[in-house]
Amino acid sequence: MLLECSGLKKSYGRKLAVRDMTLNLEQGKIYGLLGPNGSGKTTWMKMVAGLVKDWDGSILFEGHPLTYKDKAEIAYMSTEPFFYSYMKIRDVGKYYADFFKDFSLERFEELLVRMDLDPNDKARTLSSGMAAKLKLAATLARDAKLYLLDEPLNGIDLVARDHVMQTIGEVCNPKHTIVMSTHLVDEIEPVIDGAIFVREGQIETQGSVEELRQKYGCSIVDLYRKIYG
Amino acid sequence: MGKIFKYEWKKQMFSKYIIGGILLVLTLMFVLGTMLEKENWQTTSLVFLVVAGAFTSMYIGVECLLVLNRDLRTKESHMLFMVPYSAYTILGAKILAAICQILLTAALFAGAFFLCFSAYLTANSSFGQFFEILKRLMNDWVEIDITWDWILLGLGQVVISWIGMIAAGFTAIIAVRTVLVRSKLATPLAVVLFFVLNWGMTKIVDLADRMIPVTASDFTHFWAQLGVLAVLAVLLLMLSGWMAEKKLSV
Repeated sequence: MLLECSGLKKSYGRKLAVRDMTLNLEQGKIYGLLGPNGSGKTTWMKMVAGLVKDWDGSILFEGHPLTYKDKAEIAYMSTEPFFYSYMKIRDVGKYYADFFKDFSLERFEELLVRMDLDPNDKARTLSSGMAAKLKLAATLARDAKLYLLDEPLNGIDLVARDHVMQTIGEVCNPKHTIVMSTHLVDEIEPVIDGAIFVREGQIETQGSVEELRQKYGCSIVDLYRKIYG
Repeated sequence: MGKIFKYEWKKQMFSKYIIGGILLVLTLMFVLGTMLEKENWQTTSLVFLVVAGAFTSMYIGVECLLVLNRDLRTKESHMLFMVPYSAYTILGAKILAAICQILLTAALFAGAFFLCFSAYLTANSSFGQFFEILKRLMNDWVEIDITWDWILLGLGQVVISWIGMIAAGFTAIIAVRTVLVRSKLATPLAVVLFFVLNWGMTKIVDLADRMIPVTASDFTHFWAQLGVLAVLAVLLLMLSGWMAEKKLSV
């Protein structure tokens, strides 16, 4: 197992964001982390990315307790833009290259061309769609073991979504594990190996896509409607 | 740590350009005043150099705190904390950048004074006269009778006081952001906690000072106060590092 989470709990004051999450991720698989807003998807991702602290339970990454050093192997893409306001797009690449040994500046530049991004543009003046593409380009230019993509299709138009899904598809190989959280279940159903349904900080159901389809007798999109509808 | 330091340094580049501009104008004013024998220009530029020196060092220190607060208030915090370094290293780099920027500002002003001093010596060949002008200025404007001992002590006090202030600021911001995360109340509460911590530090320094015999020299009292302040600053920095490592979610 690449990642083993058991009995995870995290609260913000009185609000319990994650109440009891136990899940395992296998190497080389693509997972859809599915659930409505506020179900605990982002908090779980941030816990694994080392951005959320002071939680209960255990997270094992490649068999050892998660530490800050594992951030070198985990690529997290936040749902909101997070680049420093003074940065141009090219500075974002330099920043990642400075801190992540697995980052390829060449691959980043190639992704910028594909996503129609100008390296001289200021990161903070980008539209939400362009900013989303920049976040993806920076994250996917890494050769990480685990990719955590929080709402990677948010703000991206229909045509660009195909490019994004194609780029994510290119990252897939037996060394890489990808977790995508999204509401756009129909977009990701064709590419995911496993689905994790989250509700109110707990796992509602999880399994491989095939298993879930057989067990519930419907597609993942319909299962989403059944669970949250 | 060096890489984080580099990016922290870049965040305040605009302020450093402004300070450089102010210094250039004031130094040129003094040099021209010396060349054209306009004592008014010399006096005015020296007074403004002293005032600007104190103000800009203070501003650079406060700006370091504003930058940390903005980092934690916005998603820019992800840039800092997604990198594979411990929170101690990240905050250490931030603190080092803050101290270096304050020292750089002080050094730039010292450099400007040195340039003015050289210009004056070249024109008048009299070190004593220049020192007299400076001394008269200090006497007239701030009623301080300067000696070299006091200049050194003053510099020591400025540096350690600023480190203490940064330590209190870091602790206040991280403590409040740990509890309130992105609440609108977090910034005003951090300001209140910052003043409370500074007040507490002053009280502890005063208490420690009272334990030293009254008969001890002024210098002994002064250095003892600085020593206690330095210890308190280190303790606060350790506390802020621990909170960031164990408790702070971004």
